[in-house]
Amino acid sequence: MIRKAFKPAGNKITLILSTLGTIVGLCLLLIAVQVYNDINIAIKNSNNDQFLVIKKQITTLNTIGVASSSFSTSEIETLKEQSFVSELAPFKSGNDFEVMVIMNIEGSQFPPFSTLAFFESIPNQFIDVKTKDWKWEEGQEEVPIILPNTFLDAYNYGIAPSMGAPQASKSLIGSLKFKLRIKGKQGKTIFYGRVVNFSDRVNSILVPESFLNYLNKTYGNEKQTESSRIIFSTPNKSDPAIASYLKQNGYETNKDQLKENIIQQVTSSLFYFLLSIGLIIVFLAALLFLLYSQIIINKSEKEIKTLLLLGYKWKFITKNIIYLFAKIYGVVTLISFIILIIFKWVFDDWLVNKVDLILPSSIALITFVIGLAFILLFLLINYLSISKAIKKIAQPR
Amino acid sequence: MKIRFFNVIPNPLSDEDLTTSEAWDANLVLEGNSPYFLSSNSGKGKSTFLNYIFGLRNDYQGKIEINDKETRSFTLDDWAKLRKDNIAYLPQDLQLIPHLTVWENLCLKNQLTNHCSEKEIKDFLEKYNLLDKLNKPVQQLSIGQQQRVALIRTILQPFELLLLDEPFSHLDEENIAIGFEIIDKVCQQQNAFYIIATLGYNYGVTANKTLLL
Repeated sequence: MIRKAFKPAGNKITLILSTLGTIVGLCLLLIAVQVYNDINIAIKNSNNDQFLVIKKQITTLNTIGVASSSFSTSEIETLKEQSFVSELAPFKSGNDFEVMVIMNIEGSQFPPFSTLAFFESIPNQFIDVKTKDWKWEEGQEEVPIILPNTFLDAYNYGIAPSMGAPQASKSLIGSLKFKLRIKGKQGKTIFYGRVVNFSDRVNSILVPESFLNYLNKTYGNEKQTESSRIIFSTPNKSDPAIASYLKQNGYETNKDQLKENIIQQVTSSLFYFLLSIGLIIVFLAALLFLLYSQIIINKSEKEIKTLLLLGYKWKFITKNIIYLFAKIYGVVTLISFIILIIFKWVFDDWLVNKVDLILPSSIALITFVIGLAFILLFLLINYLSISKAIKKIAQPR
Repeated sequence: MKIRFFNVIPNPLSDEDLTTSEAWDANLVLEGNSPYFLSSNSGKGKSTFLNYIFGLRNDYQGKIEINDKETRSFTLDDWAKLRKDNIAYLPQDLQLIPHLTVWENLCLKNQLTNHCSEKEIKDFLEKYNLLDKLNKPVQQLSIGQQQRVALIRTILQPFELLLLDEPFSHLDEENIAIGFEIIDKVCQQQNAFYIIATLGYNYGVTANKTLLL
């Protein structure tokens, strides 16, 4: 009955505009938060996360021997001190010995071939693939090797078709043994190599550190040489400090590894843009709602005075006016979340087709929290404004 | 219920000579169960007097107490409770809600106080010849009819004091008599008294006291 006492504000256009404005603003906010959250989770879940391999740019100066492509001890120390570096390891390489890979399997479809090669090693925690055979002890003839995935691709899609040789699966390559001829100051020796896994993160031919140490000691030179590549882990690969530090020092990293970084930067910019627009629209709409509530109160001032005269408490009257807004905000929230769900459904589908990212399928908790927080904030602002106006009317003159 | 005025001077009347007034700038006690007639020409502050007791205005010097408590110390909630349970007021401008029907206007009060049954309300309406106007919006009634609706609404609550501001200005003698009959009955039932502002008529009622403003 008490709600019937209030006069409608009359001008429905204000109400419709405020409602539409709030829906548009809230949708932008929710979509921005949801997409930002989804992309972050997708990137976290993707491979290569938190690891970067860096090297120096090779210029003509390197070719003529004036500049070095290796990292000096002081350069490594400076890098270690950077806030974005959690753990760091220079690539260890073979020193002063020659590696020849010889593959000649009788009766096999694979053509015999031999090639000069190199070995490198990095601490196990930096390797993205785990293999139980990844160990070597002195006296062991068979050497486990990790190859980059790109090598396998180069063979299967480049070498094999052009030579008329069969393509090879990972398991087939893993079953092959090939000769490794090592030649150094102590003469020659033969080991047998076997590919135990393929890495996405490290673009090098990796052997266990113990094996490389043995070769350097026995056939090469134990003296520590400078590394030309460094791998480091970082809590946030998209930290802009990384890109600017690399640029400043003339270091490079795998462009692919920074691709996600770029996606994330674009997403961040879009996120902040959408967020700002959303916030502006939402607050303008909130102002319109405040205006609308003031119109209701002004138009119904006589009726409010009557209710106070009859003995109604100001809080009760305020609650009944707020009820009108709570209904509108309820509808706004519902419509905004429905639009968000439809958007997410279409956007996820599109993104999965365009970019190979797997997004979380549900609406994030943070999106719900932010959506509800805004509605509650709206209600609170309205409540404060309305209760102030009602109390003013209720005060004895 | 005891109402006390301690040298109350309304700010709008502060420049006027109030020596002959029995209410302003005087020590006044209103209590008991007999009616008070507040009498003066217009502009002497009859409505102001009632508004002060009802807490609608506080633009005065001096002090007003209700049951030995100064009214300036009352909170908005104190006033709301007093208006719901202790003091009923029929203002001169009636303060009915014009777009609501007679029944809705009455329910607005009775839903808050839950004081009368639907039958009791209809009995009042019948007594005041308003039963056929039950579902008419108040704005379609004559002023006299509106005054009668407002009077019924005023008594749909428990009270110890009834304030009536020129309640019969648009009523004929017959309806005035019915009005007094109703007022006397409910005041008796509730052991309450009333203060009625008039332009000097006593409507044939032998009042306990006439207060000249």
